[in-house]
Amino acid sequence: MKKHSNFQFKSGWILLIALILFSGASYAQEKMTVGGTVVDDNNVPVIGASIMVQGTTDGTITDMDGNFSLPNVPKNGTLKVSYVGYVNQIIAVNNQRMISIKLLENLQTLDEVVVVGYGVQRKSDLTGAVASVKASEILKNTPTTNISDAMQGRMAGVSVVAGGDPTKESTIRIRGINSINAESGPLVVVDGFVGGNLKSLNPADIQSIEVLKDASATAVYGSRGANGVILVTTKTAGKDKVTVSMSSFTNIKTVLKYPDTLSPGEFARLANEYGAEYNLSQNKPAKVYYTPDQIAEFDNGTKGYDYVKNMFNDPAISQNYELSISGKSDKTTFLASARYENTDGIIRNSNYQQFNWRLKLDTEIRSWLKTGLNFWGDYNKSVGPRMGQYEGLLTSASNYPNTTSPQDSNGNYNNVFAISGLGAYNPMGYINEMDEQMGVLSNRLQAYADFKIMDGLNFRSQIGVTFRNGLTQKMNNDKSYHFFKNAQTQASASSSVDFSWLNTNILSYVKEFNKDNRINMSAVFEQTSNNSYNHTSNSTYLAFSNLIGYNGLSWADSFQSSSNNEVTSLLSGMFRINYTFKNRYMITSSIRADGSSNLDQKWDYFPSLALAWDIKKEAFLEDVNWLDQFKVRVGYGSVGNQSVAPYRIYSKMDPVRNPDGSTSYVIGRPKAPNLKWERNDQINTGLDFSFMNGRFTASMDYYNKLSNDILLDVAQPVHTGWPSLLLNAGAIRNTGVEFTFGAIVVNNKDLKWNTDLTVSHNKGTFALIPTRNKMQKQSGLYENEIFKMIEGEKLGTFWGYTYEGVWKTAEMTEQVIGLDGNSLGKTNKELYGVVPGQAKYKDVNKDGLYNDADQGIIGNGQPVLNWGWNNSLSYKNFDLGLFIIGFHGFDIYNASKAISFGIISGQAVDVVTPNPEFKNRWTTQNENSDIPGFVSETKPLRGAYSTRFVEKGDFVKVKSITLGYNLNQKVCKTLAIDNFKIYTSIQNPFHISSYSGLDPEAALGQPLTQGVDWGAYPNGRNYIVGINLSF
Amino acid sequence: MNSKIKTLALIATVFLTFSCVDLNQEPQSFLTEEQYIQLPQTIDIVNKSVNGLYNDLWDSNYGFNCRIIRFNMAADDLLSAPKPNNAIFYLIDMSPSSSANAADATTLWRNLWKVTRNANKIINGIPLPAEEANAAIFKKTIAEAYFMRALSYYYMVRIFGDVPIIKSGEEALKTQTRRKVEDVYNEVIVPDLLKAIADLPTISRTGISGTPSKYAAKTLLADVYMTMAGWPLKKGTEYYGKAAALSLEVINESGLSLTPKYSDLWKEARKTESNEHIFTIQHSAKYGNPSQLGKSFYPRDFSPNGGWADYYANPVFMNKYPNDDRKAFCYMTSWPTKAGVVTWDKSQDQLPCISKYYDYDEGVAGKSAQSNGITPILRYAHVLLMYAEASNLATGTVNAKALECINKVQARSKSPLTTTTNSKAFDDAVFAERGWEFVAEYTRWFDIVRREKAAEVKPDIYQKSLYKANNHFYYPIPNEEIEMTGWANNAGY
Repeated sequence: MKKHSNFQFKSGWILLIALILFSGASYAQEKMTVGGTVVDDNNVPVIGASIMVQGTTDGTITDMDGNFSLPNVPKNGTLKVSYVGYVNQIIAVNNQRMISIKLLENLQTLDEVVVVGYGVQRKSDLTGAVASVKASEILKNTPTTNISDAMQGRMAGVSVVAGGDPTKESTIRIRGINSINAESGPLVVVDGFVGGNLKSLNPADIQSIEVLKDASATAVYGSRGANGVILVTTKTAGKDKVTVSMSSFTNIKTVLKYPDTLSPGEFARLANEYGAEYNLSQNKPAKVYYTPDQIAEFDNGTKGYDYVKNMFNDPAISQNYELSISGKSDKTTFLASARYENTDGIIRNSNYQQFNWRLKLDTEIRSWLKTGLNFWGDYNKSVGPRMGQYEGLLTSASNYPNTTSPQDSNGNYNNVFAISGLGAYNPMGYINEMDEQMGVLSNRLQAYADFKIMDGLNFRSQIGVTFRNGLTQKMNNDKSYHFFKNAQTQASASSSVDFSWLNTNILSYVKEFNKDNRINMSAVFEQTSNNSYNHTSNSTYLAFSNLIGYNGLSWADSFQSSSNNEVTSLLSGMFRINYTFKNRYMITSSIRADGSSNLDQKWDYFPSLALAWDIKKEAFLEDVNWLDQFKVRVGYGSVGNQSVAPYRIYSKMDPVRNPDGSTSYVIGRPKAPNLKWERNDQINTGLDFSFMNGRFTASMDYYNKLSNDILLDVAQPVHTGWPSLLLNAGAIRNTGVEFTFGAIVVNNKDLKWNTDLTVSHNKGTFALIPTRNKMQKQSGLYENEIFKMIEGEKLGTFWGYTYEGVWKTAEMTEQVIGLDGNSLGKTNKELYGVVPGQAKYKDVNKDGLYNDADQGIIGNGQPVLNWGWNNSLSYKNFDLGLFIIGFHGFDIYNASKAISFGIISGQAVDVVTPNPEFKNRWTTQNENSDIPGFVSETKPLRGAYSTRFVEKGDFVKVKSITLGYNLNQKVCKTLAIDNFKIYTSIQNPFHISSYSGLDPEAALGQPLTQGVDWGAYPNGRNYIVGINLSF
Repeated sequence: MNSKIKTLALIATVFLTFSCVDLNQEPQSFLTEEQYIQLPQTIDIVNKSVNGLYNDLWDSNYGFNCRIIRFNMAADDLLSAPKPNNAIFYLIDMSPSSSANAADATTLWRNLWKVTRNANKIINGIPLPAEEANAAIFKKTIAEAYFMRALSYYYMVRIFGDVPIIKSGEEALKTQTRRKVEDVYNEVIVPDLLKAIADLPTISRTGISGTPSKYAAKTLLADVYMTMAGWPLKKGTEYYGKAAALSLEVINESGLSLTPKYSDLWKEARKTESNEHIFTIQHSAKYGNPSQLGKSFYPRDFSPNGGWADYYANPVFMNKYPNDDRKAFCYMTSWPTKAGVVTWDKSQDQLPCISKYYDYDEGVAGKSAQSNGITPILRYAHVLLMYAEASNLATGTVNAKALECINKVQARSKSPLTTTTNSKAFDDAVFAERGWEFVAEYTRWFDIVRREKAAEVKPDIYQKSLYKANNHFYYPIPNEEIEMTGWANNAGY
């Protein structure tokens, strides 16, 4: 019985093949009992290896010490020894009673089974573009608190961008961006339960990750598949004994690069230069802001304050502890795990804490019935100062006059710009007065029952329930930014209660009829419902903001509350068939129907078809031994994107407060009738190679996908009623090429070297923008304003003026030459009304005006290419990892720098900031500078975006260098432990880039505004020390 | 036996899990417009719908109140601080930029069309009850929507020139062209105001100036006639006559009167008084519809709370201002700074301040950007000075009533009284008086434009201006609107 369950559990299909191939009658021969040991290439005993007498059904498996004993073996017979993950061996008995067998690791992964959504498939039978990684492999080189960080650069076509904010998830996009209004990341499916996020997972719980990239693979998720699908499989106990694993690491995060600023003394001198030059340009007497005595105090350090240094937390500490217990009895396996993370961000007072728990139980009740229960969840808590784009901490601290101390002698903040005299909140207030926290508790209870109805036919029904509670609390006292802006203290609490459930029912038929015919069919019925309720109480004019705050919201003069309830549901049916003929011709076809409560046209159908041909299996390549696989794949699929906000098909009335405190109701938005799924049609062709028994592997894919009917707030002439209407109107096309190359460069007893390279190229363009002039400004504030969506152009297109440096004194009296080459009869000064030393922008049509006609495409933030190169070296008990990524072919709009020159509208800075570039500004002695001088600009182009701040963003970044030491197995045995590892890692040690800002990678964090650095939270340089222990 | 259990278990599981979710989910936390319209239209509901129009006009923190001040920066009463990147200077220079002043034009454009759209909904969408007495009550409220639509178009023709005429949601969706300013007056503004005059109650529905009365509509129509008489339609004496007649009706019938003390008009505690304020937007920082009358009017070097210095007084204008109670109240000429009290000419920006709205500042000088108070739109003082101006221009003679009207305004503030009966001299006196009385009330530029006095009040600037070069006084229509409609923009943009 044990033998049977082991087989089924570990390698059911091997048994099938073995049965088919070797079910012939045995010959009557002389027989004997054969014993022996099976070890692996490290001489470690292999437990549970299968020993079969060739041509019979007789067989056994090895015991705990790798020993076996098999009676009735023909003396001249042959034994077949197999174990999953190792190369099968055929051994002639030749009268030996004792045989020592050494199994060699199978480097080929073709026989592996991969998760493909609503089922599993042999890797060799795949027809779609599916990338797969083992968590243990990626975590070995990139110890992390968040699995998505470790996925960076590991899978071609999967772009992962990490920012420095510990409370934020990395940005993952698969094969580009497919939507504007409904832009979101890939669907995450954990253990077959749709919906989730990677950050909420304990990395140590994860067994493997599969990413479905093309539509023929994601079509089984229909309306949810447009952005790709990430399938996460969590660990299950694998050994017969109880195993306890512990791991822990400490991450010491340091600041990689501080914003470059002048010292207080230099700044004071610069301010005086401003006072002289600015006033001189208006024929006024020079103004002196700082006396020589004051400057001396700044220089000797008795006065002045380094806001930049004090904004950072250097070093910041992150700690991660994880414990799991797993085991297996006859028919039951269990795994229990817990994790705690406490991460400080490199920005002061930013912190993230997370607790994870999991209890997973699987049992076989009858031979035809398996059930399991999985209870897991997490609690996380985030705090952090104001990092937003409007008056955020990073730009504020970098630009605040550092001659001003944070507080005066009474402890009040100095909320004024030293030079202009305008009010401005002190950056240290953002940090010190911050009292804001957000906690989210998620619990998931999941259960399944799996019936084996008859041979090959299975029915699985599963239900998962998710409970999610959120609580956000804020308090703004009379020293806070909020008070500075609104002259009122304020506190609020928001809570949310989400309840959702998902029920999936899968009827599957997997049958291998004979050597040449294999079929895998699934029919799925799925439904999900989500109910989320949130409530906010807001109090202003608090009586005791610091003493009571959000803990007693009624201690205030004014309260407001609001609440919102949303219910959504989705009903789906899916059918898929995968047929493999002669192991070389494969076809997969699926169709899914989805009905959503969010849409007007509720139902739609999503078909797919994919073909694959393993040419290696053809007769003419049979003898080519160095080739294991040469497979061609072609697929087509149509998928949807369902990220439509609930109730968007309805118009909405909004309550507004009247000045007398009563409420009236106004039309908040019109209805968006006829909303339907965004549809994404994709073709994919791919090639897979495997050489030399899996030592080298390569894959390449080309895809072309057209996202039609994308949801867009289409700009409307305002007089028609609304500035924009939500319509299924635009189209985006993404085309791309991906390469994956893997090699086991060295593989001997002591030294192993694996290397993997992934390269992805994607080009996303707008195929349709349905406005009259085929372009539209991207909706949204701040960094969105840099972008224009233009039909035929790439996503991420920057729009603005061409910067031509600084107006020189000599140019004032020069005649303006018109487009026809003739003089316009006016000098530059007359036409443009400018003064020497002020910024000069290109007047394309020479009409003397600066307007839209003078603007054009000035850059693009969408990378052309990104790659990741991973190396794993192990020598005896040491292992070394080196991981490098690169992003190429994109621009960064350095808005952080533009803000320091005070030319971004609404982003207040002083007239002079400690930006060192001011030192090289235009003066009458430095006419050739392209940095405007301290002059009174008569016609400033306020808020103009221009080529001046567009920089090349290309970068190569060493993401991690990791060195580990595994305690010798012999020593482990004597200590009665299974495994002990100690390691150290440096993350983000350095990057190579011509970009002048802090972190080019952080500028890519927002998919729709990729390529803008607007005070983005930079990544730090991290030093990690950790241990893993299991016994 | 085994297979029986198996079948039963399977069927039970299938049965338990196959009850379907409901794909029809209606919003639970808000009403749709369709639901709202179908509610029994009681007068309370109608009142609430119409109240929304005032919120629509207010629009946002940087909405109407802020943008209308900025549009009027071309006038001679205000200046701004020489802060870097200060786009107000384009406006002061009478040369708006379609890029630098994009937010100014776009906000007003959206703001006024929003009022129009929602007024259209009310005018066309609210069914009148069958019973005549009830219908009359409804009409009184719905008349406010006519008033607001007229007001909105009146601002549009003065700020943007030719605009489409849209009087219903259906018309809005058809392709529209820019209609001549004159058509807009004749087809919307005047008829709407006549309708409002017919239906509005003599005392406003709420009893305060935040909603219009019959006399607000009459005052506004008189103001409209004054503008039609001047630039750009230049309909002359006939329309001055109409304006004079309407003003006189308001003077004789309305029972409105000047507030005895000018300064009391600008007290937060008295902002709901409606004897003189005929129509206003009421602001409340507490309830989330604040004005921009706080920090924006304080100087940069004000201590302890430095202002934004967006709007300063023009010293040239101030120096001409007669020394009266108004001047004492409206100007701040010295203030505390970190270096002690300074006079304006020694201050950082060397400009005096407008202190008219300082009582709206939540009690703390220069503290908050979000302030209370009112946006004044129509005052009884307008009515008096309109009569004085219009009766003179209609007839070429200064009658006793006209003198009485201007003198009433002057007397209140202990200003020297105008005595001349020379038509030209009297006209100059009235024009100047409007400048003093309504300083920083965002009407001065409209006066300058309709009387074509730009060259007179700011000659140097006007000569070099975009307005002169292109012979109009309009903002650009926002770029996006032009791109989407294919309309020609106003000249020079």
